[in-house]
Amino acid sequence: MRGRRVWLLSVSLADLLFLYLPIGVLILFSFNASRLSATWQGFTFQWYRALAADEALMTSLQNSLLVASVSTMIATVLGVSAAVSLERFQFRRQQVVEGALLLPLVMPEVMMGVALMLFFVTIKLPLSLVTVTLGHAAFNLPVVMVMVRARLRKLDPGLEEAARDLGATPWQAFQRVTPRARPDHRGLWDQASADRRTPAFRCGGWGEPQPGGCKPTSSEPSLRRSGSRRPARRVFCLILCFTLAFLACQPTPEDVPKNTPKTGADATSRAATTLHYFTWTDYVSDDLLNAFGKANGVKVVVDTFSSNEELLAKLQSGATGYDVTVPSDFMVSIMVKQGLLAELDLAKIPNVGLVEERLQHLPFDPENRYSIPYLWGTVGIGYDSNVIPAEPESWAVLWDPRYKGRISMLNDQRELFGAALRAMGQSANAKDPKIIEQAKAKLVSQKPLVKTYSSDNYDQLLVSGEVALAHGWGGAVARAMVERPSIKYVVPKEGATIWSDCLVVLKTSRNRELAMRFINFLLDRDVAARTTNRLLFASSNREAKPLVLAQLRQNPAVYPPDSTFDRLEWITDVGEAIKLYDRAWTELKLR
Amino acid sequence: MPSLAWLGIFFFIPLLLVLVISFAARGTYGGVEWTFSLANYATLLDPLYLTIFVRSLALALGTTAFCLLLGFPLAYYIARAPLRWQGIWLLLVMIPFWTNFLVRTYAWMFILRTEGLMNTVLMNLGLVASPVEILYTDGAILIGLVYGYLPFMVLPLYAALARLDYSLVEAAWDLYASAWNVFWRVILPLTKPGVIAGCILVFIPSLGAFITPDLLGGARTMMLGNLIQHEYLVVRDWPFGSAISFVLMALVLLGMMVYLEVDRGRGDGRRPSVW
Repeated sequence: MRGRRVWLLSVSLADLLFLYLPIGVLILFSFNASRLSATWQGFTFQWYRALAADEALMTSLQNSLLVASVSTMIATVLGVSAAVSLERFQFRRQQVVEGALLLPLVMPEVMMGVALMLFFVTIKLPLSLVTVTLGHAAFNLPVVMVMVRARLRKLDPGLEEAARDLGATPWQAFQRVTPRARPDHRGLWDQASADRRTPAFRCGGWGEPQPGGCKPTSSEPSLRRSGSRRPARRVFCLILCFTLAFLACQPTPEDVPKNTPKTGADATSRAATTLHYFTWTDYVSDDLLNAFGKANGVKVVVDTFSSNEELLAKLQSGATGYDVTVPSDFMVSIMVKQGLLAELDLAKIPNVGLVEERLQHLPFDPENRYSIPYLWGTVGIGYDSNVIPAEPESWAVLWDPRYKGRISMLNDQRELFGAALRAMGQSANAKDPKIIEQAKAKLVSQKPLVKTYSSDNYDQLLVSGEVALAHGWGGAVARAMVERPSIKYVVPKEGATIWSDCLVVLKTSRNRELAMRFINFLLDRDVAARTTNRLLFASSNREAKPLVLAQLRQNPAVYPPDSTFDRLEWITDVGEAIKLYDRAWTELKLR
Repeated sequence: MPSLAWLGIFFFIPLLLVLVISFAARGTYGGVEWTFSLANYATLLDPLYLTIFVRSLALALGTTAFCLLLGFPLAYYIARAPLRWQGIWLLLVMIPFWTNFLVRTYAWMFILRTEGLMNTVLMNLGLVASPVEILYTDGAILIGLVYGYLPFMVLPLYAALARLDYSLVEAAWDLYASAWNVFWRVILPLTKPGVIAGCILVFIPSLGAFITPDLLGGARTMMLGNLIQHEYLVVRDWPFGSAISFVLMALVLLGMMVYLEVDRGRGDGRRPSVW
């Protein structure tokens, strides 16, 4: 008997250790001085200080609380009514109705999210916090129903009948007697903010960090029995703080965009004061945005994406409310064709005259009717010179079996195929099905060597030594160099892609005037220089370059040296051939 | 009934829409071209996609099995603990849930990476000579999924075990049943509804999981959830994405129906009490 108890206890403790290990790491790293948080760099409180100042994070917290409370209210009212009618009345097809009400419980969340997104797009309801709330309510309704019903079943219907006999109206009977079932719906408050990211991510909130919640199950009432609600709340707050601090110190992970544009009534009432900027992960410098905000008496709200395709998908799926965004070159032409962009009023953007000569009259928008280059650079190979002493001249190094498991490739369709195509001596914009097929075969043969396909944390992997070779954007490699000086950058001899992310105004923007001013601000000489110093991506403003730190000006990962230009190629829209790339990419991932 | 109307609008109509779109074709830059064809379903028969279904089923089953193995002893221990300790233990199981799932998954990346916590500890203890490469493998996905869904298993199991009449267990001991027989022939049958509820609550979400495979699997391979997300958000082939979603849903419903039928077939007249 004793032996068994010891055994059970040790398994239980092991389970707890398992559950708490990541939380412990989380807390530890929220005090880590390194921004890339790959390795421990010393103790700091700075992220907690940053937290207090991080408006975006606070807004998203508000959003979460708002969505949680409203959807809980809807779900509770509907769920309780469903539970009462199922439990207290008999009606035709009751079983069918019950089954229908329970169905959402057994539906994979990704499925529900997708269905809701299609629905909202079809009825042309712009995705927003409102749609997130509606979706969450639909998710939560069956949960409420199940829990309340379980409780009602234990409640003696005689009590209600007695109340009726004593002259209570049906409403009084429900209100004064049925509350014996109440503890069950009190538990729902925790549940509403449960970690259901899917609906948020599909229905338009793009998953604001949801700071809390436990999923309820049939055993929820047992918590009540222990009476431990109050301490639970305190622990909750503490953990919330740690989580937020951890988020503040993270280079914003792609799935945790910080904000949702407000739409509907809210947008109209505050339209004049809020600018929604939809940009790349880790592509903003808060102090500059705040400076713009203060100077113009407006608030700049940022949301992020991590690939051009994701940007397009979100805009196509009806995400509105954004004013300014930053697609890359080829995506600008697709967005123009799709009629997503507003024409720029160049008279309001005098800084357009300062754009580098190389970046003027680019084929996708030669007259800057819709777009102006903002940050630019190349794609190449970041490598650790301690591991690979001789500069790798060719893309072939990424196919070298000696580096198996130490290679990371961009998780970006066009760039990934671009690298393979250039390595084959082809254009990165090949449209011939045979050549695309060959590129796919080449990438499939490389796959066993690849540790990860990543577009946003390969700088961390380089710093931690996890990978020795990273296919990546120059600026991100430059960031890794800061923390690990042995990292170097090369543009392979077969050629690589040159890119320029361009500032554009969306057609759906309600603040075009302000958007133009914002673009002009970002292109300003001093602002541009500070942006480059901070993000390590080269600014398009030619007058800003002299103001940039000398070591960045000379860093080939930031400013491509003149000698490389003849082997750089722009990615262009390949039209119908994109379907071939899509198919090839899916197949590569499936292998 | 208002709740039925709500679900009708925000659940059933959307599902119907998925079904309708799954017969359409994609436009060049995404969007939907309204034609009727079974091409999307035909594509799904490609062995490549079948592999994904099999892989996802295997990972989801593995996750469920590990959760059950880890969760049952814990749930049993909690259910047998003194009453005031039960609440504390349950609270401890739930607290990790109050942190964002994504962030906890990131924490696992720190633990599992080559120079991460796990390898540091293992190397210092001299248990392994060279770092164990586990991040960005199926093993890491499994760890992440088990971690994410363990409490979904523990809570319903606890609910069932707390209701268990222990005099029956003691009777079995008194009658000299072996430990295995006590478990297999007494405890397990009596707590079956809890076991099934837990398995469903773990299996279904892990079948559709996409964050864990993306982060801990290094985006190298896909599970069904990733494939659906990929079709919708990356290559923007909504009709094909819808076809995959619909097949996934059909599989889940089929599984549930088979279970309900089997359970009814046992015929003790009661309706299956999953929840």
